[in-house]
Amino acid sequence: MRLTDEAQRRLDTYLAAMRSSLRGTHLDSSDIEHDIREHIESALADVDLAGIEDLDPVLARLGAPEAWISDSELPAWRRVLRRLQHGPEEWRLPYLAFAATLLGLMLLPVGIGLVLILGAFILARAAAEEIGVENLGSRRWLVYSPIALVMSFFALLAIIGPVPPFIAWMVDEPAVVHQFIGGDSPRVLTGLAMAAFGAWWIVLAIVLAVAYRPVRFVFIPLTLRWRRAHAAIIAACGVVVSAIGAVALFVF
Amino acid sequence: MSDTFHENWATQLRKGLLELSILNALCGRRLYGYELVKRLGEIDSLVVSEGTIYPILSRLRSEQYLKTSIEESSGGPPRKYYELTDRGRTQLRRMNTHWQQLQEAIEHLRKERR
Repeated sequence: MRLTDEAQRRLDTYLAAMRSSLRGTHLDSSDIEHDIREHIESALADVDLAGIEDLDPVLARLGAPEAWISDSELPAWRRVLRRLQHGPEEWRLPYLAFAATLLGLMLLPVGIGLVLILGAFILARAAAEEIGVENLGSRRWLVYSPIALVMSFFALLAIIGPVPPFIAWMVDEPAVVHQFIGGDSPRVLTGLAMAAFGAWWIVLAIVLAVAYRPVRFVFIPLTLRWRRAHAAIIAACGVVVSAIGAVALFVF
Repeated sequence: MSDTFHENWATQLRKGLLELSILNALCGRRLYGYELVKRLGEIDSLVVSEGTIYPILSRLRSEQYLKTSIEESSGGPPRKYYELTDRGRTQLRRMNTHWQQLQEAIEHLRKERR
């Protein structure tokens, strides 16, 4: 079989794509390439010098090499890549979300990792909406991780709130504490810190009770069981911790 | 929606039937790749991409259901002929029996419905 230069380049590209699509499988790519060459030669047996206009219909009938291999014949990493490239949204989004989470964690020291994790969170939320929480199945392992990561971060921020800067200020300004509370001993500072945490948690509970729908929506599916009444538990913790702080300050 | 469902179902069915069709096409005769593709292509909508046949042939050969021999041809390139091995014939009998049972069971279900 003789091909024009252009047709030869087209064939080389096609065979390269074929070898690439067979990579990582148990199939013998040289054996299949031999078959494909023979097939093309047989199809073009009557043509003396085959041009691209002769070759293209033959390649079109052979089809795209990547479609020849079923998922079950591909190694795991190729299956993941295939789903990312061609898979339906219901698989693509969870895989992308998980990949962005891993990349984000690796790049956290560089700084861009935080942006990637936030992106992964948005993708995971989109996946949960697209697929439906009840239909996630095994994909929940891919979808839940970025949501849990971001939710944990914000939960930690919400729990500590503005209290650490307040404690730092107390430590830096013992004279002010002494003037208002009447002492700057570790007991007083501990009492103040506990009272501050307790007061903040009461405020936090009120905010969560008022805005519980948006908070619940943002972190679905992990907040599906979140109810307004749960804010009362946070408020109760705040009251208890404040009371202990007050006792430490004024009773002893 | 139903078109997509039908398309997916037909694709799965076709994939499953291609191996059975290849083994049956080679039963009692030797064919080279292009000839086999053309023969299977005569079955309406069985072969959508002709290239799909070749990875299956390669796998069937590695499973030792098929063997190959290369022969010179007068009007073209040397041809690789495929034929069934004894192991392939045994496997084909099993697959045909299974297929027959499935067909009968489905036909029975259809008759029950009438």
